Amino acid sequence: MNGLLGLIQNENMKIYRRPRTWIFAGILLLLIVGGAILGMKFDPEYSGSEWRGQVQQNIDEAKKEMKGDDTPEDFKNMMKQDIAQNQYYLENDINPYEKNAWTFINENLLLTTIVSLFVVVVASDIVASEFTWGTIKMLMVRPFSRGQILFSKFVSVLIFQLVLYIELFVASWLVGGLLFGFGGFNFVDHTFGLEGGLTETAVGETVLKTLGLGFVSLIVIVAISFMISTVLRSSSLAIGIGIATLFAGNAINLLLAKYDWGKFVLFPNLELTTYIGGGSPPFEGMSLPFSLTVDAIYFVVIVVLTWYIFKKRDIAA
Amino acid sequence: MEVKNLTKKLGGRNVVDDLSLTVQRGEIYGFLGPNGAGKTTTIRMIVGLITKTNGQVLVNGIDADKEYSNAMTQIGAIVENPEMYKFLTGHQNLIHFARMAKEKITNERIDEVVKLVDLEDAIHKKVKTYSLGMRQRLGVAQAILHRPSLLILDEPTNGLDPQGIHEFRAYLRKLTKEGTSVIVSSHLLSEMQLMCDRVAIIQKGKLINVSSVHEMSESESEQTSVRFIVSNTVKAQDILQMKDPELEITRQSNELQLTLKHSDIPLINEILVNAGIAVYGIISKQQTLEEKFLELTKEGVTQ
Repeated sequence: MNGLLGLIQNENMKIYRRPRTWIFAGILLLLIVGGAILGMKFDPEYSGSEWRGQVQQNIDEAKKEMKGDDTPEDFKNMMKQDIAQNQYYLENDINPYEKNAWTFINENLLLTTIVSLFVVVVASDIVASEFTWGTIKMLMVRPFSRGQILFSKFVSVLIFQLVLYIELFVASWLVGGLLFGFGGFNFVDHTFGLEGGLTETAVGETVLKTLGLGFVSLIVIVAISFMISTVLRSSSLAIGIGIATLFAGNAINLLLAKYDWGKFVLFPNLELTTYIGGGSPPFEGMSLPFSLTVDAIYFVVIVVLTWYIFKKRDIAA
Repeated sequence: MEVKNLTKKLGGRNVVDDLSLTVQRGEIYGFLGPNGAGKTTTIRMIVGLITKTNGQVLVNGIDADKEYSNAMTQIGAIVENPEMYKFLTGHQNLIHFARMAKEKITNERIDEVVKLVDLEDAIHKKVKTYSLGMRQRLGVAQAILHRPSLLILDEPTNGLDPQGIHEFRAYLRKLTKEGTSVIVSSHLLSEMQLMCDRVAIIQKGKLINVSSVHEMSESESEQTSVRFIVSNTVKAQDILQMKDPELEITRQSNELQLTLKHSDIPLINEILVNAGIAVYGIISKQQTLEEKFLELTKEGVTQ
C-alpha cells in the first residue's frame, strides 16, 4: 500500500512543518497587500472624466519639457512617444488608469522573482539538509531506491512552486478584485514600441502567459539547484548558485551576445517571457519552441546526472 | 542473516577485508573492535549506504543486491546516532518512517511501539526538546516499527546513562524472544559482555574471533588469580602448600598470590582462618573479557 505517494507526503510534511515555509508564504502575501496599499496612495485610479484631464496634463507637461534647448535628442524622442501614446488614449477614449483584478495581477508579476527566490531556497535545501541533519542515513535504509527518494523530493519542490504561484495569482486577484472590481480579463493592454508600433493584448492573456512561461523556466532553475544540493550536499552553496543562476542570466546573455553559439547556452533560453507580446529574443533564430526544446534537453541532462551521481554515492556522513 | 566475503576498498586499503559471518534467528550478535576497525563500514555495507567492493549480503536468504527493496523490508537499523527531524514531534517522526515501510503500519502499531520504548509522555513534543536518551529510544522505535527480522544497531548505547543502558538491554531481550535477530556494534567490552549472545571481534577490517559470551566467561574461571592479604605470609604459605603441593603460590611482603578456581576461594580462606592467620583482604582478579580482547587483537596485529 505504501509507495511513492507516502514518500511525497513525507517530503511535503517536512516542507510545511518548517516555520521558514510559512515565513516565505507570509512575505509574499505581505508584498501583495502592501503593494496594493502603496499603489492606492501614489498611483490613484482616475475614474469618470477625471482621467481625461490627467492625460491632457501629462501631454502638456511633456510638451513643456521638450521645449528646452539643451534637451538631449533621446529624451525628446521619448517624450514624443509619450505624447503620441497619451493622444491615442484621448482619441480612442481609453482610460489608461483603469484598474481591475487582472491589471493588478499584471503589476504583481514582478513578484515572480521573489517566488523564484523562495523556491530556489527550498530546492537547494531539500537534499542537502538531510545530509546536514544526518537524517539521510535514516532515509536510505528503507525499501525504496535512491531514485524514488530523489523523485519524491523533486516532485515536492514542484508542488511548493505551484503553491506559491497559486498564492501569488489568487491573492493578487482577490486583493485587486476587492479594491478595483473583479473581471477585466479582456481589458486591453496597449504596448507602444519605440518605433511607434502598437500592440494590443488582453491583459489576462499576458498574465497567464507570463505565469506559465515563468513557471517553466523556474523548473529548470529548480533542477539546477536540486542537482547542486544533491551533489555538493551543501545547502548554502546550492542556494548561492541557484540565486546566481536566477539573477546572472542577463549578464551572461550580454557576455554571450557576440558568439553565435550563445543561443545554445541555457541562460538566454530561460528568458521565455521575452517572447510575449512579440519581443525580440537575444539571439537571431531563437523562437519559443526553440527555447523550450533547449530547456527540455538541459533539464533531462541535469536530472539524469543528478540521479546517477546520487545513486553511486557512498553515504558516510 | 549471512554475510559472505564482504570487502570494502578505500584508497588502496581494505577497510573491511573478506569478512564473513552468520547471525542466527533470535540471537544478539556483537561487533566488537576498537574505533576505526571497520564495524561501522561493515554495517553501512549491509544496509546499502555504501557500495561493496566485493561480497554478498543475504537477509533471510534474500540477496540485498538483487532484491534491495525486499531485503530492506526485513531490516531495521540505526547507523551511528539516531538523527531525527528536530522540527517535528516524535510522533510525526514515527509517521514519517511508518510511511516508508512496505506494509501499512497502523496507528495502533505506532502507539504500541511508543509504549514499548516508554515515550508516551513526550511523543507529541518536538524532538528538539528531547534528551539524548529519549532520541535514542525514538531511534529504536523507528527501527522496530515495521517488525524487522533483523535489527542493526551501531553503537546504540552512545550517550545513554547507565539506567538507559539497562532498559535498552531489556528491550533487546524482549525483541529477541519474539524471534528478531540483533546486530550490535560497540567498542565497549563490558557492554557487549552483558548484551550479546555471541561476539565477533573485528580488527583492521578482519574478523579475528567469534565466540559466545558464555564460552568467554567459562574460560575465565579457570584462570582466576587471587591475592590474599594476610598477617603472616610465611606461615600462610607453608600451611597452604602443605594442604596442596600443586598450588601455585607467590609470596610478597604482605600478601600471597594464588592461581586457583573461583569456587575454591572460600575454602582457602577457611583454612587460613582456622590456622589462626588474620585475613585482611581477598582480591580476586579474573581474566576479563578485556584481557582476552587485548590478547586477541594483539594476535591480530602480529598476524
